[in-house]
Parts: sequence; structure tokens; C-alpha cells
Amino acid sequence: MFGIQIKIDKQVLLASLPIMMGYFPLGLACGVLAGSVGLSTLDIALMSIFVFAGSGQFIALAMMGSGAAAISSIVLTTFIVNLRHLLYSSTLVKYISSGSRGYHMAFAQEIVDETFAVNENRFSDKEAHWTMPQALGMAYASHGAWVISTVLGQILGSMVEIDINLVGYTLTAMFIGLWSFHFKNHRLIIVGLFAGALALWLSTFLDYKLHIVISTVAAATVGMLWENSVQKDEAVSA
Amino acid sequence: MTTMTHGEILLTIFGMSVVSYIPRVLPPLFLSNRKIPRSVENWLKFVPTSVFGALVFSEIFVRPGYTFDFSMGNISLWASLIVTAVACKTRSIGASIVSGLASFWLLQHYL
Repeated sequence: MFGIQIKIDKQVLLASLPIMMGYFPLGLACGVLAGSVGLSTLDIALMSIFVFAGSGQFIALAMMGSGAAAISSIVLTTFIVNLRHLLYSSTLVKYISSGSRGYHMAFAQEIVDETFAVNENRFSDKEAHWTMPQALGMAYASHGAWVISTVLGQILGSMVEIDINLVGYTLTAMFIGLWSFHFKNHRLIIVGLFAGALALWLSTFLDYKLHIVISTVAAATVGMLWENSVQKDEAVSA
Repeated sequence: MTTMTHGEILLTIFGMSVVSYIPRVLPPLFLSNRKIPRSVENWLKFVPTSVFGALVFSEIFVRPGYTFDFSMGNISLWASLIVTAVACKTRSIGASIVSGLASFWLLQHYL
């Protein structure tokens, strides 16, 4: 019931390497910020292990540093920022349904933007023969890189000089790469662009990434209606 | 520097851990043995492209303080057009990051 299998092979390393490459500068920057806010090496290690959320950690650290935010508001903000993981987790469920309870609980902790996109992409590709132990291995390799780079950033601290614009752009470039996995037909592309435009409009009055969650829910609903009608047409013509 | 005590920092991290885990773990605990209706499956099909569309547009155009940058001098926009071309051609995150950093750096220095 609690069997958890992890596999790290060539395929897994090839899948996690680009994520690790992106995490390194981001994690370093996150660790430097943590150190400047006053977190110890152990504190940032615990946060990176148990929270594991790039932007969530950046926002929480900034709030801790400002000194004005109550613990409850930092925790609530983290919850809202990470609410999109609920959507990721729901999407991945069908691929891991044969796993044990223990596997589900371990795998859930590893769901972030990057591991979600790569695992969804591999699982949905029939020819990739992506397995549950590989999915968990890929996530652990990525998570490990995140923990190590944030800890390193905290230790090196002000010794590292960071071009914050360039580091910030690493995330954007990584997101574009992950997005491109889903350009499989024109509906997926158009709905994605629609979500982007909607998010910009929502960001004028919604804070803390709530605009991401709400634009996703709205755009996916449009996509669903479109897909439903296409399938209906196909069923009629068939 | 934070005004929090070390105990408060640990309490914050603990609280963040709990609220980060809940949305991740609920679906496998409650959905895994159920047959998902076709409409829900179609809805989930559009989640990834929507999330990344929303994230990418926000990263490119929204600036701190919730203002927009729609100017021609928006370096992220130009770099992202290059990255999109590379990503569509290669479908590789590694190539996306490398081409993105290179073009962002070049634009930053020469634009």
C-alpha cells in the first residue's frame, strides 16, 4: 500500500537536466534573498524541501523582509499563489491512478510548474513509455537541484552578484519552453493566448497570482466548450 | 532584515508547507479511483496551455507595482519572440533557456 518506487535513468536525467539548469540561477537568487532576510542555512533548506515553490518562496521572503506582514497573511498568500498546483495535480491523477497511497502522497509534494509540464508531456506521449518511478525520479532530481541551489545562495550570500533582470528572464524562457510542449493543435494555442490576454486584464485588479488561477479556469472552460462541440461534430459526421 | 524571531520564521515555514501541500495532495487522494467525465477531461486538457499562457504574458508585460510595459523597449518581449521560435522548432526547455538568456543579454547591452 505504501510502496514507492523511484527510478533515475538516462531518460530521466535528460528530462530533468534543463529544469536543473533553469533552477540553478533562480535558486541561487532565492537563497541570496533568504540570507538577506535573515533565514539560516537550515531554514532555507527546510523551506525549499517542504514548500518547494519558486515564485511562492520569492514572494513569502519578500513579505518576511518587509517586516510589515503578519505570519497569517504570508501563509495565506502562499496558499493562493500555489493554488494552481491543484489544477496540475488533477491533470496528472489519471496517469498515476495505479500507484499506492504512499506514492500519491510522495508524488503530490513534487508538483510544481516545471515538473508538471515535463511529466504531463512524457506521460501523454505514448511512445515515451514514461513510468511512475521515472516521473518521481525526475521530480526528485529537479527538487534536489532547487534545494542545493537555494542553500548555496544562502551560504554565498552577498558574494554572488546577481543581475536580477537576467535571472528573472530565465523563468520566462523556461515557461515559454514548457508552454511550447502544448502547441499541439490550433485550439490549444488560441486558448493559451486567450488566457494570457485575460491574465493581463485581471492583473489590473487581482493580486498575488490570483489572476493566473482565474484566467486559467476561465480559458480552460472556453477550451472545454470548444473541444466538446468539435467532438460532437465529429460524432455526427462519423 | 526581518523583524521576526527565529521561532516565528520556523512557524511561517511550517504554515507555508501545510498550505502548499493541501492543493497538491487532494486530487490524488479523492479522484484517483473515479472515472472522470469527458467534459472534465476536456477541461483539464486546456489547463496547461492556459496556465503557461497566463504566466508568460504576465512575466513579459506586467512590471512590479502592477503596471504594464507595452513599449517597443520591452526587452522581455523581443527576447520572448526569439525564444518562442526556438521552442517551437526544438521543443526543448534547455534550448529555450539558452536562447532566451543569450538574446536577453544581447538586447540589454545593445538596445
